[in-house]
Amino acid sequence: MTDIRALLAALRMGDSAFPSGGFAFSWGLETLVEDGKVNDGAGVLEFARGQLRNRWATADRVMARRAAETRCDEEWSDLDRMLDAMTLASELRSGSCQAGRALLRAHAGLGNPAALRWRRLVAEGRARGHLPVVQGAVWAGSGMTMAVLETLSAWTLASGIAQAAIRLSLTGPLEAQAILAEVTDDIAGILAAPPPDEPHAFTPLADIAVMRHERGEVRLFAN
Amino acid sequence: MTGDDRQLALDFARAPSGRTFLKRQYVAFPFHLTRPFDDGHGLFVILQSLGAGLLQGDRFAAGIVAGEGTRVTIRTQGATIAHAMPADDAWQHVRLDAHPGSRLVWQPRPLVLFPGARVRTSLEVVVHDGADVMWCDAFLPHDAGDPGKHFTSLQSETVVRADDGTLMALDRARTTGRDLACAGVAVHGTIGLVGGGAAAPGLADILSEAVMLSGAYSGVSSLPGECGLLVRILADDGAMLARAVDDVMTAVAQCPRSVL
Repeated sequence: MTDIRALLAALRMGDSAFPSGGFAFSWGLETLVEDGKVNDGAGVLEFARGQLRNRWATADRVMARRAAETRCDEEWSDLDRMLDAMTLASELRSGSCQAGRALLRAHAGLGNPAALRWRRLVAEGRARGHLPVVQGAVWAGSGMTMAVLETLSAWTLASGIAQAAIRLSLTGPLEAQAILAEVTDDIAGILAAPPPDEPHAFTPLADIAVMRHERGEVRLFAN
Repeated sequence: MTGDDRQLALDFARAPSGRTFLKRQYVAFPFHLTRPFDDGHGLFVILQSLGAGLLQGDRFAAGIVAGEGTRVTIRTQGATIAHAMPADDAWQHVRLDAHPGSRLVWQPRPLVLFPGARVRTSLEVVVHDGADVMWCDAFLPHDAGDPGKHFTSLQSETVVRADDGTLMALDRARTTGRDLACAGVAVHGTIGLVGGGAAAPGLADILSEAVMLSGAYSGVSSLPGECGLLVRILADDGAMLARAVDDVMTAVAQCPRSVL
């Protein structure tokens, strides 16, 4: 794939119009707002940075890379099971699986062979379809380079948080774009460094928020 | 770190009377075991440290086996202080084996991380069919009168496996004192429950309400595969954490089919 074609493919798959279902998740932000822990754009920026540095860079990125580097069903299943075991808040697990399966549906509909195989794994109960490993497998299957794949994965997380912030009336569209511009440097910094050997994550505030979300009465998002 | 490297090995068994007793023990420095006693719910053991805490180069390992049908609670008497470690880090590893029908509670006091501390801590929980295990894991940074100084690093891992080796849950974190300070995290605590006792109807809601009484920011959720529950706690200080842990323990103890 030429650079221009790779760029266009990434733009298309990262576009909010691509039916990947990302709009349904706040990854804890909704409860943090409700609990008064995040009140403004600065809080959204801090939340996004925390998610990128302490979860995406250390866990999601590692798992997406591993899924992209193999074409073996059994290894994909193992990665999916490991990510499931590492995702300790119930709504984080269900959110990751819902988003992963939405991405699978879209790519399977477009004839991506990796997505078709992954859907079979999910249907057979051999995988739950966690988003990072699905992203790695499906995007690599569509010909993306690792660098583009990683960038897109990080970007969709940041973009999803920015969209959630707008829907929660924390920011307007312009401030959300300013936040995304800020985290661009964070993403570039993360990607310039090698990934850790073993996946790990430490986002206690967001984890607790997702746990509390399970018992929330009014819920705009799925987590 | 396993086998002969251990400084502590405790093996609990069930007597024909139904009571739990300490069948075998190996206790080496820095550990010291007080005399176990029956608290009416099972055998209660207090573990003490004769050392100054964790120092650079320390490699501590402990193994605790709750035999079939036993009921055991193990607590440490005080917090563990991790001192500055300029030349090497410190490791501590604990393995819990809960055999069929056993109920095992592992409740160490928090790890207190002084400036310059570098610690790797791991807890391995092996759960057999019909066993219940409850564990606590907490840490807090402490500047030891040197404001602006932070612990260097903490690598923490809790892995829960079935007796056939199947991975049930993995809580693996790495952080630094500077990152915690930036995130405004004072005290971090986790309480985990696995086994049938954790599946008691409504227990998650009961624990959620109980832990909030302490004033800590907290949440409760089911673990992967509905194998148990996890309570996460962010507290302002050690006293708030202690209240939160006590509130959870009390709520669990009052629940039918309790782990305690």
